[in-house]
This record gives sequence, C-alpha cells and structure tokens, in this order.
Amino acid sequence: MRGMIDFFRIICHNKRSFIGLIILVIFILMATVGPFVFKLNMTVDYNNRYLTPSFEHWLGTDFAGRDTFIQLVHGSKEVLLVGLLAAFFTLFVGALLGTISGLVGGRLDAGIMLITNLFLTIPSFPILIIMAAIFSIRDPISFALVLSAWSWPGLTRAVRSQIISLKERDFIVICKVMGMSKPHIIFKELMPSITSFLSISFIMTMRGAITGSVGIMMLGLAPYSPTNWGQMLNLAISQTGGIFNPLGFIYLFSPILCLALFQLGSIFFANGIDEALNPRLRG
Amino acid sequence: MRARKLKLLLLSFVLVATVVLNGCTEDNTKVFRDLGGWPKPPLFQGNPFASGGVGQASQYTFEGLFQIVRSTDKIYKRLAESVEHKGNETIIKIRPGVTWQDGKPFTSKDVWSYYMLNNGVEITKHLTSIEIVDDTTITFKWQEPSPFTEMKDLFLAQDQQATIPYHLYGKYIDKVDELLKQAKKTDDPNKKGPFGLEITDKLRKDIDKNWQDFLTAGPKMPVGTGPFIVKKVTASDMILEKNENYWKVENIHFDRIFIKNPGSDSSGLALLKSGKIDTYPGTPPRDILENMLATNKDLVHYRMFDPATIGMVFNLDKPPFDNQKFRQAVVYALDRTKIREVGNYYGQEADVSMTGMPQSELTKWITPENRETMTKFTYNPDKAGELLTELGWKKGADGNWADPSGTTPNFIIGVSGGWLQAVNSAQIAAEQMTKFGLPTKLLAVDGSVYYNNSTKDKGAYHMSVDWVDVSWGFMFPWNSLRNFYWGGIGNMAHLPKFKDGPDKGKLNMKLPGPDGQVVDIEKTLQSMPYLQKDEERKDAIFKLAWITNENAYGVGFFQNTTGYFENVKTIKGWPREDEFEKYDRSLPVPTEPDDIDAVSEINFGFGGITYFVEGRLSPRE
Repeated sequence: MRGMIDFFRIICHNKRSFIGLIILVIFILMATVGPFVFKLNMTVDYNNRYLTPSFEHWLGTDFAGRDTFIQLVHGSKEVLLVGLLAAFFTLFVGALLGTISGLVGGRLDAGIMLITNLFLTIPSFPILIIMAAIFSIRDPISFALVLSAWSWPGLTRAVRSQIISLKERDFIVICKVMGMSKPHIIFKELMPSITSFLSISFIMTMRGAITGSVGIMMLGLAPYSPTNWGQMLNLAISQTGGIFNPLGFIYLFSPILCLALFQLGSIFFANGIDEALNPRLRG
Repeated sequence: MRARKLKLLLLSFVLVATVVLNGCTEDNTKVFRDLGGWPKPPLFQGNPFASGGVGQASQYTFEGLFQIVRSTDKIYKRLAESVEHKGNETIIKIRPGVTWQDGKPFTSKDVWSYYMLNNGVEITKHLTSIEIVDDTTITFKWQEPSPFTEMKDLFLAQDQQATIPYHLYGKYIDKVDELLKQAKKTDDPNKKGPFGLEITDKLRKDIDKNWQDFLTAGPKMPVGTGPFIVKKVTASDMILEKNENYWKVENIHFDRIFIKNPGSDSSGLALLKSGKIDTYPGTPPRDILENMLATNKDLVHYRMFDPATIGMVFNLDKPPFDNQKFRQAVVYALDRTKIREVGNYYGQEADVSMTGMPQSELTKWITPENRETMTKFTYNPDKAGELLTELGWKKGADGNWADPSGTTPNFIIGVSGGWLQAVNSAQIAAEQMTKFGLPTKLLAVDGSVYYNNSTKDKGAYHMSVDWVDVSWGFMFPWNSLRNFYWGGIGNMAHLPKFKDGPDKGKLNMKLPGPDGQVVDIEKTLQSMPYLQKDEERKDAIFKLAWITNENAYGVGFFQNTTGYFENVKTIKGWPREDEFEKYDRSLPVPTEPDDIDAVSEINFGFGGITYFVEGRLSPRE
C-alpha cells in the first residue's frame, strides 16, 4: 500500500507525468463510461454530413452525417483494449525472452535468437492473409495476440542487448559476488534499469497496434468496425481526399488528435513511471 | 558599394537567365496531359499481354479492327475498312496502307496471328476457322448455328486485333498454329474448345507453355498501329509522340501525350486541381467533386452511368438464405437510398431486387407492360417483417428476430477490403440489417482471398458484396445475365449446379417464368446469342430478368455513376459545351441519345481514344 502511495506521489510531483495521468484517465473514462452515456447511432443522415461542432455534435458529423465524437467514444473501448492487450503481450514475451536470452547466454540464447530472427525475417503480410482465409478473430484477446505476433521479436532483441550490456556492469558483478539470487538481480537490479525503455516500447507497441488493427481489419481477420480510430482516419482520408474537402477537416483531424493525445499522455506518464520505478533516478 | 552593385547585377543576371531558360524549356508542341499507371522500368516492356501490360499507353498505341463504345454498343470501324456478313462467313477488308509503328505493313496475317496465339478469346468458341484471303482480306467462318449478326459484330469489336504483329512474334504464332492443327474437330459441346476443336490435356499444356514463352518475348517499347508511339518511360512519366504514319493522321491534333503516374488518388486530384493534367477519370464523393470544380474553374465534370451495379448476393448454400421469402424480406429491409448516398451519391437506385442487368437497361429491353409484372422491392421494413412472420420468425424483446427454432442469427457480409466504395456500402447494409433485427457483421477481406472465401465449399459468408448486374464488354443483356448466372457472382450466390453426370458444373435451375411456364436457365442462356429475331431475344431477356428479380438472389444497391473531369481551358472539343453554365460545370448523366453517345465516348474505359481518332479534340491555341 505504502509503495502504491509513493508511486502516485512521485507521479503527481512530476508535472509531465501528472498531465499524462490526467489524459490517460480521461481516455479510460471515455472507453469505460462513455459508451453508456453517449448512445451510438450509425444511421446515415446525408443532409447533415460534415456539420461543424455544436452543442448537439461536439466534433461535428462525418461524411454520412453521424456524430464524430460519439464514434470516437465508442471506438475508444476497442482501440484501447486491443492496443493495451497487444502491447502487454508484446512486452511480456519480448521482455521475458530478451532477459532470459541475455542473461543465460549459451545455447539457450542461440535458440531464442534463432526463433526471433526467424520471426523477424518471415513477412507478416502473407501469413496474415493465410490466417484470414482460415479463421476470423472473435474477441479482443485473439485480436491482440495476432497484432503482437510480429512485434515481440524486435523487442526481444533490444532487451537482450540491454541485458548483455548491463550484466557486465560493476553493480551487477558486485551482486553476483555477494551471492545475491538471480530473481533479485533480475527484478531488483536489472529491471529498474530498463524500465524506461520498456515503458516507451509499451507505448510505441500500443500505438503500432492501434494503427495496425486497421490492417488486420482490412485483411478480413477481424470484423470491420467503422468506429475504430484507425479506420475512422482511413475513411476520413478516402472520403475527403485528405485535403480536397475542407468541410471534412474536423472529421479528419479528430481521430488524429485522439491518437496523438493518447500517445502524448502515455509518453508523459511513462516519464513518471521511469522515475517512480528506477531508484537510481530518485537519488 | 561596388561589391554590392556587383552582387545586385549578378543576382539580376541569375534571375533573368532562369526566366529565359525556363522559357526555352517550355514545350510549344501540342500536348495532351493524361494520367495512369504502368509497370515501372525495368519491368516495363512492349508486349501488351505480359504481366502488367503497357498500362495507360495501351489505348494510344494499340487498336483493333473496330472500336466498340462499351456502354452504348456503338461500333466504329478502325483498321477494318468494310465488313460483310455472308451466310456463315464474315468477310473483313482491312484498310490499305496501314503500318505498324516500326514501319512494317499491317496485313490480314497479323489479324490471323492475334486469334491463333490469343485463341482463348470469346469469338473463337463460335468460329470454325479464320482464313487469310489476301493481305487486306480476312474471312471469319462461323460454326452452325451462328450468332445473330449484331452479336457477331460485338464479338469482333471486343478484340484488339492489332497487338500481336507476326513479324515480331512469328515463332510463337507458327508454333501454336502447328499445335492447333493436331487437334480434332468435335461436336461435343462439353469438349469443344476454340474453333470447334477438342483440345486434349497434352495439347492444352503445350499451348499454355507456348503462351508463357510468348509473354516473355517482345520489344522494349510497344509496337502497335495506333496514333501515338511510346518514346520514354520512367516510373513517374511516360511520353508518347504522334505517329506520323497513322492511317488517320489528319485527325490527330496533338504532337505529344504526357502521362503522369500519380501513385495515389489524392496525388492525381492534386495534379488536376493545379491544372497539371487535362483529364481525370471517375466521380469522387460529392463534396470532393464540388471542391475540385470550385477551386479550378477550368474544369468540367461529366457524369455517365457505369453499366454495372454494386450490390449484394445471398449465399443459397447457407440457410435461411436458401429460402426465397427470407431473401425477399432482406431486400425489403434495406434502405437503398441511404446506401446509395454513401456509396455513390450520383448512382441510380433500383426498384427491383436484382435482374442480371443494370437498372438503366431495363427500359431498353423490357416493355412497360412486362415491367409492371416484376415485383417492386423498394424499402419496406413492414413488408419485410410480414414475410419473416409468415416464415415463423418472431421478434424478441431485444428487437432481434429469431427463427422458428428460437435462434437469433449472426450473419456475415463479406467484401473485398481494398474497395472502399463497396466497404462503405456494405457497412451501411450490415448496420441496417442489425437495426432491423437481423444482427450482421461485416468482414472486409483482403482481395486476394475474398473470392475464394466466398465461393469455396459452402462459402464463408452469408452475403457477398461485389459488382452485380455487370455489363462490361458490351451492353446486350446476355452479357450481364451470363456474368451473373455463369460467372463469379453466381458462384458467390452458390446457385444450384449439377454435381455429376453429363451436365456436371452446369446450372440446375428450372424455374417458373412470368407466364408460369418452367424456364431452364442454362438452356435459355445458351440459346441467347443464336436467337435471330429481336422479339425472341427480348422475350428471353425478360424471362431471365423476371426470374432473377422474383427469386431475389441478391440486391443491387445502386447502379454506379462514373465520370470524367476535363480541362476545358487547355483542350477543346468536349461535348455539351452549351450546358456548362446551366449546370455550373457539373454535368448530370445525359438523357438525350446524342448526349449519351457523346459523353460515353469521352470515357477512355468505354470508348478508348475515340475523341482523338475522330478528330474531335484539339489543344486550345
């Protein structure tokens, strides 16, 4: 409990991470409470397309006259859940395998690297097409698993490099000489040193997963969702020609803004996480 | 002070020199600026049949004996000087003095070469042989029974016969001629191949290998007989120069064609908006179209019907879509106005389910009296509910329908993901079905697996969105009807077919027609090209259209409206000039026959470069 209080104290004291926290809380509320507050109506209302923001339509309407803000709210649940899960799976597998590989070395390292390199060299697109022909995704967990299937190898290699570099440092050598246990070395000494890297990787993977989910959808692996932020962006570009329909600018920039804000909030928050979890930064 | 003067002088010199040099590079030749795609060098080559072809250069470089305007069936003579139908023979006289772009004469042997090598084209299934009479005369001998005269013309006009010059590809042409001579004539319709020959598996293999070898051969640049010669190709630009030896060179008012490869729709629109190109195909979403016209006052947009409908076919192998009433209920439940508004604002909605022919063609081929006998399937959710209730379905408290066993369905619509116009339409349809109480999800599938998913075994989707009622090629409705019943759309609908026996693979559909008499769909379709009387043809068309509509095998969302932007400041000769002001340069689909012809022909996809060859277009001075 004490640790938790300390964690939030550090987060709140760090201005950037505090702003990040607020942004993330807003997005979490948007994804959890939002859909119950704002009812989605996707019926075409062509005469009211591209309306400017008003009390009735906070971010105006899209190319078919449907409320842009409410679409963003309903899309956020799927986007955040799939993004978070995909980033979690990627981070879990990548960090675990990278740490084991870097720390243990030898044949196990060679074996893990062989599999990692194999995944890095196999192009994902044809595999996803084959998968699309065989089955379709029914839930956010399998959606996230598919998204993370090709993102863990890069992280594994990066974590392995970090661990190899760290394990030769004096403080780790001293730990080993002092006969400290492996779990202690991993979780108390090594992990805090790569937390910031992992946090940023988590955010980047999440961003990649959100935009990548459009690709998965357009391959037919997952049901098409017009409220997915990436899909909204895709539709906005195709319907407005990007820049050829000034009426659609708000519709075009709304998902961009959401993605950017979410990313910004995550990066700011990660900044505080780094400080909270890395004892060396706390002095 | 002196140094400053020197600097000023130098700067002025650089400025003047830049302006002068720029002026020098300004091309004073008469240029038409087009856009399109082609295989990027080093993949670009001159064989139009090789992978990727020659792209946008094709229509400027190659031509046929005729030019058909695909949306009106109007046929212009090109390399053919005259056509004579005599019994079961068609004798074609080739224009004398026509040469290939490398200077060699174009003769009847080149026409024969085209059909020998490209023997899979449709007309060969109706011919016994093609015979060279002399250098400028060639005879097409038809099988008995032979197609009616207009059909013969359409078969001939579909092909671009001046694409396989014998002097360049003789080796492969002689080889295939030798192989075809080994095949025996047959009267068995199941074994009949090109020219009434039975092509054994061994022969087929050898012919295919020869074709593959041919695809890898050919000159670096295309060699056709057309009015322009490809001179330079890069990844982003193509330059063609006027063929001074063209047989109708006096009609060609441009010295050069510049073609840009914009890479994306947005880049293409940017080129159009900034006046860097003279033409742009398609009808973008309404707001983009209006913005383009508002920001570039030199542009005019012409709209024209595409002889194709975007719609959805039901998978008859997946219950409850095997039930006619259920299918009709779904058609009634869809508000096609809303689908059309999003899919193609300028498109045309149908009042029928689908008929196997585009909506715009119904009045041409079906009399008003007969049209009245066809059930109207306009938006009527109450009627849809009634039909479901008749079938024993019940609407639950959650607003969803449940079948007689109490199960609420979860339907899937499949669509090719890369085709956003169809994806948007399909999404609205899924939304409407869900709202009506039939929960439906959309799967936007990669184009490479979509068709296979939709057609294999029982099919992966309950409904597939695609081009239905498609009449590309020519407008005589046999074309669109066979596209549905015999083509890919029919396969997506999983129409009943014989699984074995002598008729294996053929349609097993004998259904009551408008007069209550049973109509064998397969036999009716087979007979259509041979019906010599117009009345017989119209009767067959009506019967098939009526059956297709009543059985509601699918639903046409809207007939597509395509179009063309043209720059009227740089180029003159475009049609309907007197109406630019009236319609504020956004010209609606024409209704007058002359206007329909004129507007159809500006579409390169419909009428090739008819406007160039007929001498209608020229640069503004």
